[in-house]
Parts: sequence; structure tokens; C-alpha cells
Amino acid sequence: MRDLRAPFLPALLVFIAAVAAIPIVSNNPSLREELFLVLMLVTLASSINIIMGYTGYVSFGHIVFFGIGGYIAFWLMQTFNVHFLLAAIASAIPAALIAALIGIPILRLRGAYFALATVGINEAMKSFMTNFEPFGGAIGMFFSFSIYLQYGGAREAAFLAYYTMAAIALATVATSYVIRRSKFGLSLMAIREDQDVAMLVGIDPARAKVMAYVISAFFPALAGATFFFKNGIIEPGPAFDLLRSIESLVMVVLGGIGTVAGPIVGAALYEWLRGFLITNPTFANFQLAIAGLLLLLTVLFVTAGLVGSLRNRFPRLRAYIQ
Amino acid sequence: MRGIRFFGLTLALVGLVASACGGTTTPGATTSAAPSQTTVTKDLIIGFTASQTGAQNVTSKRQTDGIQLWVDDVTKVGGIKLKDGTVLMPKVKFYDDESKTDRVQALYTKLINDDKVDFLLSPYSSGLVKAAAVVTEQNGRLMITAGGADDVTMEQGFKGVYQVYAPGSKYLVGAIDLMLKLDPTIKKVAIVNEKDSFSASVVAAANPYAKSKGLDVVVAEGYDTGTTDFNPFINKIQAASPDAIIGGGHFEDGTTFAKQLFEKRVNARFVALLVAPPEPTFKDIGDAAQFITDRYVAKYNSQPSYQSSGGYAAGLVLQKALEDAGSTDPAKIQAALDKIDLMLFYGRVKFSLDAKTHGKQVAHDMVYVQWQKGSDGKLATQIVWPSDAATAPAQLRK
Repeated sequence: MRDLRAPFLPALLVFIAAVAAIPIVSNNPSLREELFLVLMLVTLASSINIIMGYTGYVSFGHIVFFGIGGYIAFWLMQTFNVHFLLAAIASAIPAALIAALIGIPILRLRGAYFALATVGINEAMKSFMTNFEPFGGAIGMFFSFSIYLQYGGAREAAFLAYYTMAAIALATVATSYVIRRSKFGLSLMAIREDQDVAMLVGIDPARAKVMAYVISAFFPALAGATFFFKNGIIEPGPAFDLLRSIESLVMVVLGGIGTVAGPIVGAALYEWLRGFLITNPTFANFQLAIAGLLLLLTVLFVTAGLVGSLRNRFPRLRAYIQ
Repeated sequence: MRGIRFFGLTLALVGLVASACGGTTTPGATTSAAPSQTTVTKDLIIGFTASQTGAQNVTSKRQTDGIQLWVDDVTKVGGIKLKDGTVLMPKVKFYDDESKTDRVQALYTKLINDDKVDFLLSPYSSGLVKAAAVVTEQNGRLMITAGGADDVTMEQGFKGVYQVYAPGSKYLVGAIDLMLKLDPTIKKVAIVNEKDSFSASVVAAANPYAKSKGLDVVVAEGYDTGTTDFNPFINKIQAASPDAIIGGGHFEDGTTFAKQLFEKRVNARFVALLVAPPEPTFKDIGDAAQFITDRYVAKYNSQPSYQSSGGYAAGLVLQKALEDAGSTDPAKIQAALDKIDLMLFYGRVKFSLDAKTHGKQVAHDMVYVQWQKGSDGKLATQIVWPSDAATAPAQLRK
């Protein structure tokens, strides 16, 4: 427990909370929208980091839990008028259960086979939702605007979504840190390095991996519920967007795989870069090309990611930056 | 045209309709300031997002081109002249939304709060329009939607969102009417559509309408967005031997579907596909396009698409509202939009005033145009429906 009292986690959480408070204090809705996306990406990247960075399983289709959470919460809110916060929690639990059911068979796979299986699950779920009429089928679901009245109006609902997303991001980062510093985290990293040796030292890989997968599914489901609540609509394409999943992987790699701060840095940097390029008149038409080039350079020359490279370059920082 | 001959249709609206129906009103042509008034020229910043990347890239670009063309035309005639002497010079401000709803919401918030644009136009595609509509309503602003057709978006009790496109529920209903007028003996119809928000809402209206007309829907299938192999659907269609096929989705899938229907020699007398046939490049598929309908002729010097027309029409609607309001006061413009009953090159435009469906397009109808070979042997489009706007009789496979 001594490690949990180290200043890194409180400092990191305070920093995230302080940044998240800026648009509220400065009454800047545009910045609020941008940070909403950053906080969502921090949640997604940090969640993927638990299964990918700590455990060594590359989950290409991790966005499936974001979509499941979004759909279940949306359905609860639209059909039964369940309060958003309750619906979000109620959606994350089945998403975690589904992760457990899926995880038991597919976490027996290793390497590319696991990655491919996750892609297949995401596409299968997308196809299922496209044909599942209670959830709107291909058309998806759409809030009547009056649904926001119980939250004080659409504008206030956007604030509620923002606060919730900030809380989810903080909880995800805290969980990621706790796992990394715990015995459970050590067992995950042992599995990542050599599963057979991990078994020899008494670790139950199947159980540990499924637990990691379940935890890593819980937070994206909450993020999905919050995102689509604010969005006002949900459709299969945006809910199970494989590209978003891959972007989250890139953020983890960019920031530093297996570190706590890495996904945060990666998500913020990636989103900032994209936002800058899209809205810059000079680069607007080349934003994807430039982003792609920078990512290529990062992968080629900064393989440990920014946080990882910093820790490697300055070993003393390892005590302060996880 | 040995082998299979197609008869295809889609939605439409066109300049010829306006002239056929009479009473064309072109905003901007008549308003001018009184000589004694002082003229004040102001910029009118119109904000929207365009999908310069992502799935809606091609069609969104056409819509943006249409909007830009309207801006150019208005600029050429000296701007929008209000009754108080103010002259508004429209300028556009837009960002790439990557065809993503989250990007749309972030960027519309930026357009409203940072760029402080005067008015909003919508992105292209029903899904993105919905996302933009939510932000528009959250901020109490006005938006004219150029690129969203599905009905459900406009049935949410919005106050400041106005739909230029005809609702999706109207898109294929007219095709069924035309089909039955051409040949009342047609009994079996296959419906195969893209499984996306727009196409599904179109079919949700067309399917029961077909049944209400006594047609037997022998195939009702949906295909995923991005489908390139339609053979499984075509095999099913061939097994059911329908007299007619309706459906489709967007440009790429519709074009591929039509091509494969042609290649497989599907024995249907009538084919009506959404969106793809009106595209100018649709004829590139060759003989298969001969009887695939188009609905789009323009007053432009190049061949515009349905989407570019929509963009241009959205600009015209905004222009008319500004002229009627005589002011840039949003409340007055909203009142003017509520009263609009306009006949444009695009067709008639009028909005619902019902609280639940406020802003939904209620007057715009589809015009169906068919690709036909002229006496010179070249493919050209002819309006075939409605009959009072027809430039040539529809041709059905014998």
C-alpha cells in the first residue's frame, strides 16, 4: 500500500481534474467539447492499456464495449426513461459480463489470433445491432429532445455528460494505476512476458486475463453510454467504429505502452494534433497525411512512446512517472 | 440493350419541375434598397462541416460545391439586399468532420461559440445531420439541413432546424405509383436496400406502401454499407422472379448493384434505385444505365448532383428567409422560415409547423428521371414522373 500513497497518482488525478475544469471556469463550450473527446479517448486508451500494455493482448476490436454500453444505456433511457447515470452503470455491468463470456474462450488465443478474434466480435456485434429492431436496427435510436428536460435542458445535459466523462476518465486512470502497482498487475505483466513461466510461479493466467479483460471493458461501456447520451443518437456505424478502436491503440503506443501516463499523453496529443490540423486552413486538406507521417515516425524512432522514452532516457524519473 | 433492359428510377426535383408547375420564385432577384437609404454592407458568415474525409467524402463535397456556388452567385449580384438597406455578403466557414458524429458536434459547437457564425447549414448525410441538429438546438440556433432526408430526425420537436430535402418516406413511394401506372399487372416486387439510417427509413415507408397497393413483396433484404458483392441478393431475387426491384442506398453501392443486376441478366421489368442513378457519372456503367433513371438536370454549366443541388437550394432558402425577415435577427428569420412556401429550381419548399415535426419538409416531392437513348444514340436523362412535369414518356421493358 506504500506505493499507492506515492504522489504520482494524486498529482495525475489533480492535473486531469484541473484541466477538465478549465472550460467550466472559463465558460468555453468549444473547449468543453474538445476536452470531452479527449477525456473519452483517455478512457478508451487507458482501458485498452490494461489488456494490451499490462497483459500483452492487442485488442483491436475493443470498441465493441463502447458500443454495447452506448446501446444498452440509450435503450434504457429512451424506452424506460431511466436516469442517465443509472443507465450508464446499468449498461457497464452487462458489458463487463459479455467481456467475461467472450474472454473465456478468446483469451486462450495468442498473438494475432486474439487480435483477429476481437475484430470479428466487433463486426459481429455491429451486424447484430444493424439487424436488431428493438434497438432501432440500421436506423439506430434517437432521443426525443424532450428527454433532456429532466436534466434541466439540452445544454445542461451536455454539462452533465462532460462531468460524467471526466469522472469516468479519472476512475479509469486510477484503476489503471492501482492495477499496475498491485500484485494482480504484476501477474498480468508476468503473463505478458512469458505466460508459461507465469504459470510455473503459480499464476492462473486464464483467470487473470479474463479479469483484466472485464475491467478493461467496464470503462469503455461507461464512456459509450455517456458519449451517446450527449450525442442524442446512436447508430451501429459510429457505435462500433473499428477505426476509433485502432486510434485508441495508436494513442497507447504514442504515449507509452504499459505506462499509466502514456495513454493520457497519447490521447491528448493525438486529439490535439488532429484538431489542429483539421481546423488549420493550411493543413486542413492534408491532416490525415501529416498525422500518418508523424505516427510513422513515432513508431519507427520512439518505439517506447513518449512517456516510455522519457523513463528510459532519465531513469530517475521512473520513481515519479509511472 | 440486348439481354436485360433496366428501368430504374429515383427521387428528384429539378428546374424543369419549377417551370412545369409555374410560379417560380427566385430569391435575390427582386429585392433592393430604397435609394434614400444608406447602404451598409456586412459579412454573413455561414458555418457548416463538410466530410472531406471518411465515408461521406464524395457526396459531401458535392453539397459543399453547391453551397459555394450559391455564395458565388449571390456575391456576383452584389449580395443579399435587405429592406433596411443592409447588404449581406455571404461567406462560408467550414471544417472537415471526417464523416464522424462526434467531430460534427465538436465542430458545430466551435462554429457557434468560437467562430460565432451567423447561420448554420447542415453536414451531409442523415446521421451527421442528426448530430448537428442536437448541437443547434442545444445552443438555440437556426440550421437549414441540406443533406438529411430521414424522417425521424425531423420528428423530435426541434425548433430551429429546417429540412430542405424531401423526407425519406417519400423517396420510393412515387416510384411505385409510376410503376403501377405504367403496368398495373405488376404484382411481385423485390426490395433490397442498404442498411443505413437513410435507406432503411425510405424502405420503411415504401414496403408497406407497396403492400397497400396490392403488391407482393417477395424479397425484403438489406445489405451492409460498403457491400461490393451483391450476388447473394441477386440469386435470391432471381429465385423469386419479381417484376420489379426497388431499393439501393448511396452512390457506390447503387452503381455496383445496378451493374451486377445487369451482368446477371436479372429478368425484372422495372428497377428503382436510390441516389446512384442521378449521379452524372452513373452513365459510366454503360448500357446498364440506359434505363436507370435520373432526376436531375441543372441550371449549372457542369453536371451537378443531387447533393450539390441540395446545397444550393439550402442557400436559396436562407436567402429568401433573410429577405422576408428584412433583418438578421434570428427570431425574425425563424418566423420567415416558418412562413416560407417557395418554388425553387429544386422544387417546392415548405416546412411543418406542427410542434412535434416542426421544420420537417412537407411540400417537396420527388421527380423521377430516366436514362434514355436519344435519336443520336447517346444516353440522356428525361423526366418521366410526375406526368405534369414529364419531358418524355417512361419506357418499360417489353
